[in-house]
Amino acid sequence: MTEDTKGNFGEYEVGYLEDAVENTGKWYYMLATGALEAGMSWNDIREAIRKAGYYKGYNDYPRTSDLQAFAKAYAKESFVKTRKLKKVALTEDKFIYEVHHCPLVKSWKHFTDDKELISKLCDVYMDLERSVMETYGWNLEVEKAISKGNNNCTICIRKGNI
Amino acid sequence: MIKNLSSNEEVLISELRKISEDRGLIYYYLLKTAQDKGFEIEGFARKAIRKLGQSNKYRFPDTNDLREVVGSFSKKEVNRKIFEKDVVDMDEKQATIHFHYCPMTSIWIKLTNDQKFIQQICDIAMEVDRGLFDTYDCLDFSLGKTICDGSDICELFFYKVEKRKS
Repeated sequence: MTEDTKGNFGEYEVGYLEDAVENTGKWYYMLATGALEAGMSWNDIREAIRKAGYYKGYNDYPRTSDLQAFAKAYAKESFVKTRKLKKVALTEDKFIYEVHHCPLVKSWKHFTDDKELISKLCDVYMDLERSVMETYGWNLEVEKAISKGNNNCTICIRKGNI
Repeated sequence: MIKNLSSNEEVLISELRKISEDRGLIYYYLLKTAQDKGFEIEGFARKAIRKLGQSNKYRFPDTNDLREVVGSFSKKEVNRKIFEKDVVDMDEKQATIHFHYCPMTSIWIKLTNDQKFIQQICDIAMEVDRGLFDTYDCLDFSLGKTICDGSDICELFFYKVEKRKS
């Protein structure tokens, strides 16, 4: 599932996929900063991102209580390769993975070198993934983040009360 | 009624379209949430996407040769396949490209049946191309029919113009 070097996508295809994710990051950057200038708050933007996450949770992934089956669908080839994702742990109750490349942070650095802004953009954007997990009754925590200056992101998805 | 029918099922194209759909999903909810909270999306969202388009200039040829610039819109096979683009005609003064599919429209029609809102956010999204052409002294761009207004295609028109601004 993870660390898959075979599959449909080689270097040429991953280049296009990363470019597409970077483009998403650029749209989000411009809209979020434009929204803030117009008087919206970060909480307003979070609300929008969460709604997008709930949609993804109910529509993009298998509706299952089996975290391992979910993880297989969630960490699909394009996600693994564009993020240089490494699986740390996958059990019945937890899925922990590392991201060693973030096309989104790369896109934001195209526009700004404000570290605090980049960190905030990341944290708000991750509400997308938190909301996906919320639709399953699971919890997602970002324990380390490239946007905070770490070498990689560590994402922990756990079953349990939220 | 919006149709937006695809004829391409290649794996890479499907995955790239999915990424575009996710972009459309986030874009939709940012604009919808803003509007629901009483913010004027015609103002901030158009300005934001136009600025994005202007910032994309580095990805395109720095020339006023219309064929070269429009060619860059259509020469990459992968990009052509995502939108099922056809270059209908092109000479040194004008060009027309038709798009037969739009991934962002495909998610919007799943999220709402408010065609008026879809048309509005489609037009705002097209500020990305208008913004790019702001950066060219002698080239301009306009949109004709769109998939979001119920047509089978989006019509993109490109023109050579008299030098218009500094």
